Amino acid sequence: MDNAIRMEGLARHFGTVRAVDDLSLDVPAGIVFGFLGPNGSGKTTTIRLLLGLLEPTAGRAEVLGFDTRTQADAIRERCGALLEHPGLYERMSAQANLDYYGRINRMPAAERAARIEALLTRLDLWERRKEILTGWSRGMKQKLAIARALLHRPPLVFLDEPTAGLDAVAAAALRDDLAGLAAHEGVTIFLTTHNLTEAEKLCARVAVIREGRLLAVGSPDELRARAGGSRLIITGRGFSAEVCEGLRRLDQVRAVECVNGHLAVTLADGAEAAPLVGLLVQAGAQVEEVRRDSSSLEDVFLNLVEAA
Amino acid sequence: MRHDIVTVARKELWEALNGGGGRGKWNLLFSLLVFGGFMPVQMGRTWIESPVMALFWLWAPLFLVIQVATDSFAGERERHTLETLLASRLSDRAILFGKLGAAIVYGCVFTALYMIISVIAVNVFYWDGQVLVYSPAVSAGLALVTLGGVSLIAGLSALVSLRAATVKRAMQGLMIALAVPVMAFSLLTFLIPGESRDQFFLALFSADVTGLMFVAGAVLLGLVVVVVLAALARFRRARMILD
Ligand SMILES: Nc1ncnc2c1ncn2[C@@H]1O[C@H](COP(=O)(O)OP(=O)(O)OP(=O)(O)O)[C@@H](O)[C@H]1O
Ligand SMILES: [Mg+2]
Repeated sequence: MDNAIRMEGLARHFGTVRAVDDLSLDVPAGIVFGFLGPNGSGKTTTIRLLLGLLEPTAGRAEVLGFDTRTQADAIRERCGALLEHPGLYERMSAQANLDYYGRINRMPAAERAARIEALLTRLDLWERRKEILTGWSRGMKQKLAIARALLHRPPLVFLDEPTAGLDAVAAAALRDDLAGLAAHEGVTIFLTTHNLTEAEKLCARVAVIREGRLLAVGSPDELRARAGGSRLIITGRGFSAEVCEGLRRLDQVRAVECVNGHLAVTLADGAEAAPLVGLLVQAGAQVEEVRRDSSSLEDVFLNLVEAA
Repeated sequence: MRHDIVTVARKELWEALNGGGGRGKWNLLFSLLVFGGFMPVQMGRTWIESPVMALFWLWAPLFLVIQVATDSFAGERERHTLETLLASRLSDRAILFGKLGAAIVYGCVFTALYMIISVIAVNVFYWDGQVLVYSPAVSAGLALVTLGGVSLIAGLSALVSLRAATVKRAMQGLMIALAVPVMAFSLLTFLIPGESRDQFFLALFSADVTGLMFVAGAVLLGLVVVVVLAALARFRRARMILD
């Protein structure tokens, strides 16, 4: 099986709100897949659809080869999930929480105990395993909830904003763990995040959605290349207001910004850089350096979301 | 399946007993002492000699059952733990029966304890040389009515709280659900001509209480089947998430 998840025209409407709208997307097995989108774009709804917790209004989806409408039990049996809320029983201890889910997943007692100890130790929570969670910080609860999702070693894990509430060290450690799981154990990880730097570091592929619609999908490098190619950063002197105005009037230029003595020029699709530089020099500007902007995934994201 | 039901029920029972920082246990002990000790001692030997009394006080454990059963669905939803549970490999039936089973076991064990304590209390306070206990037939009748009543209330609570956003909402729904038959009954007795009504009540009170308990128990258990089937039909995972 090459794809862990396949969505074909998947849609879910709530009244007039199209939370997920005609989403077609494949998620290859054994990678960390990032699902990005602004607030309310339908990320959580998509995860719910994939786990059979909501029925699609239209379209279909397959998870690990099972249909979400008719074989959701088989899907849930093979997945781990951290949903919108950590979903922990706050009146129970950390250990009891994990133990409950270990039992639910039919882990034998010895294996359960060993796995719980290993996970809690890894997350620095072993010392506090007997405490009830009422007084725990958000990040500590988040870590515990992630441990619960990974407890029974599922081949596919859904994580809805896993690093929300984690400090930088804990977030980095989690990223390492997730990357390791995908690389060494072939686990597929489907995560949503708002943190684009994180997606860039961690995800082999990302999809960007907005208002339930897919805007782009690819590796972070591909997306960057797609968007970054159209931006030039020009360093030098003599970028007067007239020079900028002159550039703006050109067909192949979409936008011009003059910041801190350099020009940021957004080119129209397929436009070349060289003729522009020629024009600048003719207009009397002194050009020291011209480079294609290697925009961050964040720029790509903002471009995509704003353009849509 | 059985393993899953036991897993769910165990956790529900644990939470019922230990929730609220151990307050649950003290509340329980207090209720046991009041209903099992104080009330029977007030009544004296009639408590045991006329089992109608014991029957009358059966409403006491029902409140505990309502609490446990509504908390296990609406409470989990309110505390945002239900969705994660629904995302697990547990089947609809395992979740429903586990939670329902916990409420029923809780109610029945409480009732049994409270009956035992009441018998001990009456014997201690009104000792007249020989032990006073319920006859085997009355015990069986009480057990049947308890099981039927507790299961019915647990089932109704679950049914109502399946789609309730909060425990409070579930309680309101349940109060309405319980008020309907009571009102219907009052209306019926009001509409029936006075004579036949008097005859009905006369017959009811002169009837053999033990026999009546068996009939009531059977009727209750029949209703339980209906309510549980309705709950199973209503338990649709794809419609359990409310926002
Ligand atoms: N159960 C529901 N009933 C009605 N509308 C819903 C429901 N669930 C989601 N929506 C709507 O669907 C849209 C998508 O919501 P969703 O929670 O999937 O977004 P999201 O991408 O996860 O957002 P966030 O980043 O804030 O978590 C929103 O407009 C939301 O209001
Ligand atoms: Mg969300």
